[in-house]
Amino acid sequence: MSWGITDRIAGFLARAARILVFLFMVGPLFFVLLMSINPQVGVFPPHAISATWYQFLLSRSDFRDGLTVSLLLGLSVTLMAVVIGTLCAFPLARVRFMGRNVLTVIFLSPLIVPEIASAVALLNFFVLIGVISNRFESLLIGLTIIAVPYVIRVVTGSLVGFDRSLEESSLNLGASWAQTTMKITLPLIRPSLLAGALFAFQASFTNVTISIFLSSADVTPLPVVLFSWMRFSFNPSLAAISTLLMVFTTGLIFTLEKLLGLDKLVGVTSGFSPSI
Amino acid sequence: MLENISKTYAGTVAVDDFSLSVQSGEFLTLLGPSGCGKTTTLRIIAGFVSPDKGNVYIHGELANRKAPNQRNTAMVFQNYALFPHMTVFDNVAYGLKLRKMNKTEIAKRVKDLLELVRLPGFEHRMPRQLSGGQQQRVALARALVIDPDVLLLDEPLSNLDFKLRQQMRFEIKSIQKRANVTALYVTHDQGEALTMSDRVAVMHQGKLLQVAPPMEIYNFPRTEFVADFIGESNFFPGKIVGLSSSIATVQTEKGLELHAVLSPSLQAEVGDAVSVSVRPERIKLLRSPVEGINTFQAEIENIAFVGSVIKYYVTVRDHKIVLEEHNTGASLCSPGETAYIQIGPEDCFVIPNVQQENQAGI
Repeated sequence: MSWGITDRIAGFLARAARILVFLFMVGPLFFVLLMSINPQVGVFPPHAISATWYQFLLSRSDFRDGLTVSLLLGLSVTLMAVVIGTLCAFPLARVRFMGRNVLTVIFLSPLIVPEIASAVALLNFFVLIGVISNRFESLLIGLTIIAVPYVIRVVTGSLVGFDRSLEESSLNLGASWAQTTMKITLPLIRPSLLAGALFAFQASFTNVTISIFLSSADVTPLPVVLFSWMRFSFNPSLAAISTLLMVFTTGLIFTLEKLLGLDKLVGVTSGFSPSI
Repeated sequence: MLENISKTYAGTVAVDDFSLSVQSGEFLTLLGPSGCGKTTTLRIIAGFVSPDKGNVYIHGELANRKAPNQRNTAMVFQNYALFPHMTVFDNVAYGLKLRKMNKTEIAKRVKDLLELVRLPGFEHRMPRQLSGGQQQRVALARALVIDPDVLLLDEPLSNLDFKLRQQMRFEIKSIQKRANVTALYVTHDQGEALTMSDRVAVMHQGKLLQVAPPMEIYNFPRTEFVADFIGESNFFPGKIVGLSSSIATVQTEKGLELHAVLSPSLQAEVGDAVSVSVRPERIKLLRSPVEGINTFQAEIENIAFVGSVIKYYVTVRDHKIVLEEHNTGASLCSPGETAYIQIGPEDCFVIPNVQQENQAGI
C-alpha cells in the first residue's frame, strides 16, 4: 500500500504548495487593502476601519483630473485599438501574403519590446515632429500602439478557428462580403472583440511607463499622478487607490472569464474557440 | 441548367476536362471516391472556385464571372452551416431579407418552406437545439426558399447516423421533387447515388467516366473503375479473339474463353485488350456439369453467409471469382467441392482496358 501513502503525501504537498504560493502573491495585496482602510498611519494591525483615505482621494483635484484623463484616454484608445486591431486581424488571419509572418511580428512587437524603449522612442518621435508633442493626441497614439497587439491577438485567435462555411453560405444566399462580415462574422466573434476591448482599456488605463514619458502638465493620466504622489508624499491614500485598481482589474478578469466562458456555455455551434 | 466544359487545375489536377449537361428539374449525382474532384466541381458551379479553363452556364447564361452571391444557386453544406446566432426563422429568411422582400411575404414563404421540410412551428428555435436531421432540413429550407436555379448538395448526409441517412434520402428526394428544383448532389456513397438520382455521374481523378441513369450505370458500366466502384464485379482481362454481331469472344491470359456482350458504342477489333466484367449475382452455380457457352468447372474455395445472400469464392483456371446466390434455404456447397458455373453472355460486359480508358460522353 506504499502507493497510496505516496499519493496522499504528494497530494498534501501539492495542496500546501498551492496555498503557500497563493498567500505569497496575495499577501502583499491584502496588506495594502488593510492599509487603505486603516485611518491611522503606521499602526498595524488597524484598530478601526474607515474610508478616510478614499475620501481624501476624491477631494484632491489632481486625482479627479487624472481619473478623468485616464478614462477619456482609455475609451478613445479602446475604440481606436479595436478598430485598427480588427482591421489588421482579418488579413493576418486569412490571407497568405508574402511577408505575413514578418508583419505579424512587427504588429505584435509592442508586447515584446521593453516598454521603456518604446516610451523613449515615442517621446523622441513626437518631439522631432514637434506638431503634437505634449498633448492628448500623443498619449492617445502612444497608448493605442501598446493596446493594438492585444486586440490583434485575441481577434486573430478567434478568426483562425472560424467556420468559413458560414460565410460561404451567406455569400451563396446572396449577401455581399460587407454584409456577410457585418451580419455573420462580426456577431460571431463578438466575444473576442469585447475581450480585446477590455484588454485595450486595461492596457491604457493602467499604463505607467509610456504615460510618464508622454504626459505633460495639462494632460496627466492617473498612473502618472499617483507616481508623483509617491515621490513627494507618502500616505495611505496610495493604498486606497491601489486597492481600487486591484478591484478594478479583478473585476475585469472576471468579466473576461464570464464573456469567453459564457460563450462556450451558450454553445456556438460553428465550433470556433476564442483564445487569448 | 447547363454546365459545360469546365476544366480546372488547382495545383494537382482537380477537375480534368469535365463536361456535363444537367436537365431542368433533374436530380443528378456526382459520385466518386474522396478526392475525385466532385466537390470541387460543385464549388465551381457555386462560384467559390474559379475554373482555369472552361465555362459554366446557368440557365443558358455564362456564369463564370459572377461572384457566388450573384448566381442564383443555393448550397446545402456537409456541416449544414446554419448561422448559430440566429433563429430558424432568421436562418431561413436570410436570403429573402437580402432580396428586400417585404415582411409578410417573408413570413409566409418561411412558413411554407418549413412545412415542406416537415418542421412546422420551428421558427423560434435555435440551431443548437435541433438534432442533426432537423438541422439538415432547415438548411434545405434555407436553400430552397430563395427559389434557386440549381440546388447544390455537398455530401449532406455524411454527418448523420445510418438510420437517419436512409430516412433522409427519401426526404430529400421527395422535397426536391415537390419543389421541382434542379439538384446536383455530391456523394461517395453509391447507395445514395443509385436510390436518389435520375442520373449518376461517376468521377475519378477529376475525370467524368460515365453519366447514365442508375440502372444503366450498374448494368452497363463503361470502364473498369465504374464497374468496380459501383457494386461488386469480377474482371477478366484478356484479348478479343473473335467478334460476331454484338458478341465478342475474349480469351484471358490463363486460357479462359468468355463470350461477352459488346456495347454498340464501343469500337472494338480482334486483338484489342479488354476486360470482361461480370456481376457476382449473375453467375449461376451448378452442382453438376451442363452444356453451354461460358460454362466452367470451378473449385469452391470459401463461402460467406451474408444473410440474405450467400457468397461463393471459387477458382476457375486460376481466376478468382466471387459469385452470389440468394439464400433460398437450399443446402450450401462446401469448400473443396467441385462445382460448375455458367454465365449468360448477356451478363458479361466488355469494357476497354484501363489504358484505353477515356472519358465517356453525356
